[in-house]
Amino acid sequence: MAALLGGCAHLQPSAPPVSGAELVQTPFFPQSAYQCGPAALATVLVDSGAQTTPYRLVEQVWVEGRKGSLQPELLAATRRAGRLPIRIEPDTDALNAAVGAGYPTLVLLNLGVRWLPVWHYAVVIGHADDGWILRSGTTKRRWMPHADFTRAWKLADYWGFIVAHPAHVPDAVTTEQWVRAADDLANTGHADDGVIALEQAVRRWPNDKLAWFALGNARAARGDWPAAQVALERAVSLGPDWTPAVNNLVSTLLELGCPDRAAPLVGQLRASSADYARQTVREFEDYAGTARCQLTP
Amino acid sequence: MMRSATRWIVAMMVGILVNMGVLGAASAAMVGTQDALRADHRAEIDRVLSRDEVRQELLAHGVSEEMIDARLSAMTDQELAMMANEFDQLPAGAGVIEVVGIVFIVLLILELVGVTNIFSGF
Repeated sequence: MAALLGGCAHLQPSAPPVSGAELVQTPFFPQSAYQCGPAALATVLVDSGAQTTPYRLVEQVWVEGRKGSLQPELLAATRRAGRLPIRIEPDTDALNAAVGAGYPTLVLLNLGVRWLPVWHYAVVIGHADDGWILRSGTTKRRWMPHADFTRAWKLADYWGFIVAHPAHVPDAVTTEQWVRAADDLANTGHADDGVIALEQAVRRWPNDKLAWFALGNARAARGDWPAAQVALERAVSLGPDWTPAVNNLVSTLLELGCPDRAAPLVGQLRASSADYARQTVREFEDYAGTARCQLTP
Repeated sequence: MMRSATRWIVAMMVGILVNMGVLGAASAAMVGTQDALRADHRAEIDRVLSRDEVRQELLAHGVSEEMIDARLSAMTDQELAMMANEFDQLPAGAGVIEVVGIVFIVLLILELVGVTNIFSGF
């Protein structure tokens, strides 16, 4: 009885040899009581090159009053390590693809039942013929048959994420996924890492106005107005009718002291009913700066 | 003269709002990247309220005061809103069972008849 209450009993054998991919290099951090969150998170963060330990993550994700860790805080702690948390699509194909691409995937599982849940975080590192291999609890290679894993993961709404380094865009990610994650990183105190991630985005998707728009905004947010102007010009050239990009370009040109360059674009903003557009038009009309335009003609 | 005074006041307000974490460091009329993808633009206001609510929840659940600001700052608007609205319903991943009595018996039975894998899933 006491051993079962300990919560880390091992009644299943550890994993059989694999036929598919197994990310054997994934670090292993056995969890201590209740703290599968810090252990699982440390596993994926260290795998991505970040330097941390479960002990150091406790103060970032542990909630004493809930005796566990909450999903939004795992994502937040990933950002604090200068990494992008990318949610995977909610199905086993996406999980297989992520692991196959070399990304150990942190998943939430309900090992109990819907009306009596037992929540657990583990890291999927491999796919055997008839099951999955996880770093889980105090087990370095825990095997879960397909049916058991799918049931437990389904009860957790198929929630899982990978950890990406800002300079390396995963192959399978979409522009919007990466841009949103990079924008989140930039907006939560990691402007430099966000810019790095978005510079990768425009290299990977050079004709995507969203990527250039996001890069321009990230550069503006840290005061790099000339660089912001370059990116926003590109966004507008790729999507001349897209008001948000036009708006932000006009705003940036005013910051750079170039109302004449902004003038041809303002008409489009006047036609918009959006509050931000009206505000930018007002800024343009009220512009009284006398400094010289910072851009070369 | 009046116009540049207005701009100075606007700049000061932006500075205050930036420090409150409401706006980014860009000019006040810039549209945020994800706001541009959204229909409504009230995200900033919600963030301030959500952030406060989540602070109270974390404090009430034993997170120490010095840790809270860093934890809040790393969450997105959506995450803060989710934490504010559903704090008690969110799964708290723990990896062990803190159960006694009848609940433990029920889980044990479920395990023995093969419904769950609590004891083997670690």
